[in-house]
Amino acid sequence: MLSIADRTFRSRLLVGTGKFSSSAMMVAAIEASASEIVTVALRRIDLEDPGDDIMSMLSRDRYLFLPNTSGARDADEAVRLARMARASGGGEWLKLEVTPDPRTLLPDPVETLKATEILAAEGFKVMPYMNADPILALRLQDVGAVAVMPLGAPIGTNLGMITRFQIEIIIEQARVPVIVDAGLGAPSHAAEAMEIGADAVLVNTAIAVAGDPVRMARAFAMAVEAGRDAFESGLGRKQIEAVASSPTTGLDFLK
Amino acid sequence: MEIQSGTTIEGLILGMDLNPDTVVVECDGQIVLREEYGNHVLNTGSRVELIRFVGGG
Repeated sequence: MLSIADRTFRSRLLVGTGKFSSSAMMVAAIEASASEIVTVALRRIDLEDPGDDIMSMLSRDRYLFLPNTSGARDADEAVRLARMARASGGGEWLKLEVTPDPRTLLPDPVETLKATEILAAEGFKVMPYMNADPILALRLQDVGAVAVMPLGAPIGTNLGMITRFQIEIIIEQARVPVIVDAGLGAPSHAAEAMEIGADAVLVNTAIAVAGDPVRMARAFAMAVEAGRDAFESGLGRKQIEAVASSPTTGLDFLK
Repeated sequence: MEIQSGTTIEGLILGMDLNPDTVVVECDGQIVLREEYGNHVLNTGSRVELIRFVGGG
């Protein structure tokens, strides 16, 4: 079971709800993912074309809505978005994102730390999106983050676990759950994150833009389970020289 | 946009076929609590933002 703050979850796969070709496709893919936590963003309503209301498509009884602060460029904007999310009935859960540079969408560590401290003090359950920096992870948990969300690779890049060795250190040191967020482009990437001991992963783009998002969601769900089983089972050490799998004795008859 | 005088936030939201339970309202930079939607009358020149959850990662 995945435990974050005071909640437990069966699934270790969190899914984003952006970029799907239709609301119906999003709902079907999320169902197939067996995820229990879904991220959402806050945006101004287009009065000319209000579109579908995501809150009427996904049941709050079934999914924990994790509002993000995407679009925030500094701590002040993130805090403002977080308070709006809470006012809209989004609860205290928050994926904190502070990304000042639209080209890289990398998180600003200073502003993220500042916003985490402010929002945790206001009672938010803050899960900050962060670069894979082990020192920052400790600083964020010290100011009250309930989980940390280091990136495998920048958002939407599908590059996989390019920060793997940093994330291994984060996992080794963290007292709060480590959820690998962003950049996971294939089920094998998610499995790799889980094999090294991540508590969960968050996937959006790779599922949403797949040719068959429903099937891809299922593929990620299986990969996450496989990776977790492997981690809990205990993986063997890597080494350069071969070690025979078959007995090395009992070959006398060949002589 | 033009609205009739005396319109409340609730009236504005319902008039646009939106669900008040899923809309966040900021009026002149301040978040309006949902319980206030029925009482909060909009004044001339009020700057209203209507925000809600959309798909995101």
